[in-house]
Amino acid sequence: MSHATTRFGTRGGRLFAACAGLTAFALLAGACGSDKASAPATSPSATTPATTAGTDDGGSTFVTTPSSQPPTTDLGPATGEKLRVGLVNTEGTPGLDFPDIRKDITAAVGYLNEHGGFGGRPIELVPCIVKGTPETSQSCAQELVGQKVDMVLIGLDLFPAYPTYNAAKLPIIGVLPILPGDYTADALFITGGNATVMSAVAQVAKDHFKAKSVAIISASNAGSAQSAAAAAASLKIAGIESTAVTGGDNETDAGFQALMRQAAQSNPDIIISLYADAGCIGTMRGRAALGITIPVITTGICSSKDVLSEVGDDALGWTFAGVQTSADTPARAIMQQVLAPVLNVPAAEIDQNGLGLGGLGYLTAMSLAEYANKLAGTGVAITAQSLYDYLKTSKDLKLFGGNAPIECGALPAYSAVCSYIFPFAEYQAGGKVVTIPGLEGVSSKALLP
Amino acid sequence: MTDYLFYALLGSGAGAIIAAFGLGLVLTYQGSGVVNFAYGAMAMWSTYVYAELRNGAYTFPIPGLPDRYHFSGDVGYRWALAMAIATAALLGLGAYLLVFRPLRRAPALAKVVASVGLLIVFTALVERRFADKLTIRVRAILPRQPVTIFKNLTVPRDGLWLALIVVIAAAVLWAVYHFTRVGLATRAAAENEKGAVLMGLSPDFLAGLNWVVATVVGSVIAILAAPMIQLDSSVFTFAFLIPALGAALIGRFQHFWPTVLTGMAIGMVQSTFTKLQNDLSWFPKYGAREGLPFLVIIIAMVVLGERLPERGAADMWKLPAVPPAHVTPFSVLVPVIAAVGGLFLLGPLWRGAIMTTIIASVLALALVVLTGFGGQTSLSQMAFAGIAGFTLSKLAMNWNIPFPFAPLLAALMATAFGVLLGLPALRVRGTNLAIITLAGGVAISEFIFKNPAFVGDVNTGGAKIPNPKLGPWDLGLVLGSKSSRPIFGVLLVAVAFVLCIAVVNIRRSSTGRRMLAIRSNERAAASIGINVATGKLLVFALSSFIAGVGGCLIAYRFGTVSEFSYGTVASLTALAFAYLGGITSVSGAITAGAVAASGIAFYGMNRMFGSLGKWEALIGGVLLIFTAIQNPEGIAGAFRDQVAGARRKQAARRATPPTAALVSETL
Repeated sequence: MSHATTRFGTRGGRLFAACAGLTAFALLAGACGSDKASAPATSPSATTPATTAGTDDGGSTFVTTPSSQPPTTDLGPATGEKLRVGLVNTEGTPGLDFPDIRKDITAAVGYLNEHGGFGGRPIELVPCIVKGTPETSQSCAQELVGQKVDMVLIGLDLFPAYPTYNAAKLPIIGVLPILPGDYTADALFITGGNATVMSAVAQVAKDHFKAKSVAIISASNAGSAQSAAAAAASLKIAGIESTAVTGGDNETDAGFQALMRQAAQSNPDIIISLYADAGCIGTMRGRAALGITIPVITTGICSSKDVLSEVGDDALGWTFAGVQTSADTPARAIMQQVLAPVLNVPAAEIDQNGLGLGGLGYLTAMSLAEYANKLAGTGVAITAQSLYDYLKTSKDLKLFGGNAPIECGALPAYSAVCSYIFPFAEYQAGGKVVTIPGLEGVSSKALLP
Repeated sequence: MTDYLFYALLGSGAGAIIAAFGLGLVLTYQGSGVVNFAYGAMAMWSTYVYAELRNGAYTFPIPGLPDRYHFSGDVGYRWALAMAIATAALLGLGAYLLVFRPLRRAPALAKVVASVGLLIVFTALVERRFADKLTIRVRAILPRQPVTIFKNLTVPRDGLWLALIVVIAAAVLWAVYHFTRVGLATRAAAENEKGAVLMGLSPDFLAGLNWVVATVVGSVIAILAAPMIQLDSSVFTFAFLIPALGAALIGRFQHFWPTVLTGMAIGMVQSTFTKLQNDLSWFPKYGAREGLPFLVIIIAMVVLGERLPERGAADMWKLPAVPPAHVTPFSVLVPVIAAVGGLFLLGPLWRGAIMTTIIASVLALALVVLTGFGGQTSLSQMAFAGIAGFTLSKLAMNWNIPFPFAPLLAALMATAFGVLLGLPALRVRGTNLAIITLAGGVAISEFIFKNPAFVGDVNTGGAKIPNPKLGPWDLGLVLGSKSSRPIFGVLLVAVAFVLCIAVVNIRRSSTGRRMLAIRSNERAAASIGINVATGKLLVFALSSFIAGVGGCLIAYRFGTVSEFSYGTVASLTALAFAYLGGITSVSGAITAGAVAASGIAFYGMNRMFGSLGKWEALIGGVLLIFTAIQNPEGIAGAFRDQVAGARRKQAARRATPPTAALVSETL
């Protein structure tokens, strides 16, 4: 837990990863998961669509209509004019290293170009790597504008250079928003982002765990502190007291144990852990080693195969935001087909809960293709701008292959955000992660600050 | 009290890593007189090799060779450890034979620069070879089950094991150094190499042996420690290295036990900060952990002062020659016209490369004044740039102070910090000053640049900077529908031009001559009435002012800044490229800008050779090492030598009568 393990050149990477991961799992779960087993992965078209139930922002039950079968399987290679898409992604910075987003989007684009592209137009990706700094984001923006791309797809970028993109009149579609500036930017993000996820977590703390007090564990850098503050704000709206426990960006396992001990000291009803990766492992082990029984809510990234295989039943008592029971669906079958070569694992082993942020990138690309194909079906010419406008104004869109509604701009204060609903799951003995009954779809709208 | 003991014991693992790295630094220094800033990076490479072996592949470090040799699967921890140790030994031996042996009699600055180059090489190698998975969770080797020491005091076992292993390693090394011929000869050679020769042992052999042992010790501890953390490219490279430098300083780069005990203490005290931050409302929330090693280093420097070992002391800290400053219309107009012409005539990508070059040149100018003219060294020059960048944001955004007053005031703030960090230079010099500035830069970065109270809220986009405006003219890079305006580049050219002329004039002025006198020999300078203390502080002040201006230019270019632009890596990179270009002249600074990352040279080569950019940092590191060994005056110096040589030959030919030449050729 020493500063000695705090890395230079990171800004809340763990937290961002955690929240991003949470969102990723939310959407992956929404898109690919189902409580109801269906057709085998090898026969995607033979599936009976699942239905997802949950609570809306008023706390009542909602039922989402399942989408039709995946639209891209029966389309031939795209042959129209190329659509040049600048792909901005954060890689190579400790704590902010998400190459899977780029790799999975690239794999998806490879598949899409063989199956209709974006409404018949083949996609050419122009990748640009940022380092989690405003400076590199601005450099990328300058480069992509110089490369004359048609639109910008943001994988994960903490500081998108909106003024530069806007000056060049480039439509911006993002995978997930991170900082508050993203929420109202002239852009559209397929997923919810940190504030919406934290709001959903607060909703669960209030309704499911009946919590009166919560301890929030996060890193001590400015970004993490602010995100923890967002969680605290949602908890306050919910009438729940919260205390903050801060540690370094990258603690040792011993350091995470110390943080857990500190968090449990005031005997809160719930602990919220905003760490990811090594932090998931360290906090899970620390809690188990100290015999702490207070339930913990954390991000979906902590439910990944890597983490759970490392900690085993030390994860008992942990709830994961944005995760639900895995199930075979047509969308999952396509995902397995597309991503197996990239991940270098047998297709059957690919599970939405283990894909992390890369899966979210994949999902975004596939969703955009679905929307482009729908738009093309109406006779509108597919351009970057027409696709952006369609996404912004359409009311009946769902995330690719699933049920999660896409509601871009549903709340004026979050005009760039398109997703507001997240499932929650819990770890069960033996390694299963299972959707918590009643928490199949928790809306974040009510407690958003 | 039990609580604090608990937290302290939890820090035993981190303390053990710091102590082990401190041991390695002492070994390297004793063996060869080199403070190896790349020590953590070398341990990091071995750890990555180990981790990848557990995934069934051996990773080769040399570009051009295949990335990996694939086994059928996990080779098991014993084989992985053995191969990683062998790799570490080869790295240590290779680093000594290829880099530091040729620099045996080189100035200390060359050794510092070479070790920085090595650091850059290994960091770049990891980032290329593990590009698709930089952060790795390494499988455990040490037992990690919790152990209950007494009631309410249960801690993980692995940290304690690691601490025990480090203590045993220290004991073995202490015994070897005190009771074996090789150890005694090493200690003798550290004082006087003839001592080792008289004992029948080659200093070269001893140095190589110590490098191997040091690298192996650091690598083994890093491998054992890696499962307790998440391996990435910076955790060993910097995070543990800086406190280890502090521990080694307390041990005076000579003694094992003070080094080990200080290292352990730093880790354990830092661990209690988590509790202190929550228990004490006044306890700093940012930077306290990083500040502790800085305090240790400062105390060691101030208390131990000149008693700290500096092999060869003043004589060793010689710098490349400073050429006379010639200013001709050709030398001024050609770069200015070329830059302005490029800004208006070339596309936005070339325009960006030109802007990068100009800003990097300004930053290199700061190092020309500090190191080239003043003979001081700083591994935290970008910290001053950062002070100015963040101050500019405050002045312009919060207090609405307009351009150009805001950047000037911001640069003056950087000047104040430069003088403050220059104060230790009155007592220490050379490698010791490099260490103190490195730690100081880290402390500034952690205390200030990451603290929202000083730099604003990153969640609203970081520290924003408005476009520079002169009356009705907006000189910003992005405005309206224009995303890359040449006029901003013209502003950069103007600022760089003024600074270049100013630095040339400093070189030619009496102030410059005083700087050179101090740089050459402090005692001699003092004997002729030069106030050395004032001279040194003036060097730091001027240099940090220029760095501050550079920081403001960065801020204006990007519109938002963060600590990333001004951190430790940026400082080391700035030094590297300044040295590469030529750290003693203005032309060297401009060359440094051209070859800087994303500058015009690399951009041009990228256009020609495609994916060269991926290896940009590694190429820069290798060139830096080569420069330190073969060409201490940098690219500009080599170019000057070539031109001077050609002119001499031409002059000689003109001076030789044709008949004499004919006779000569006939003979």
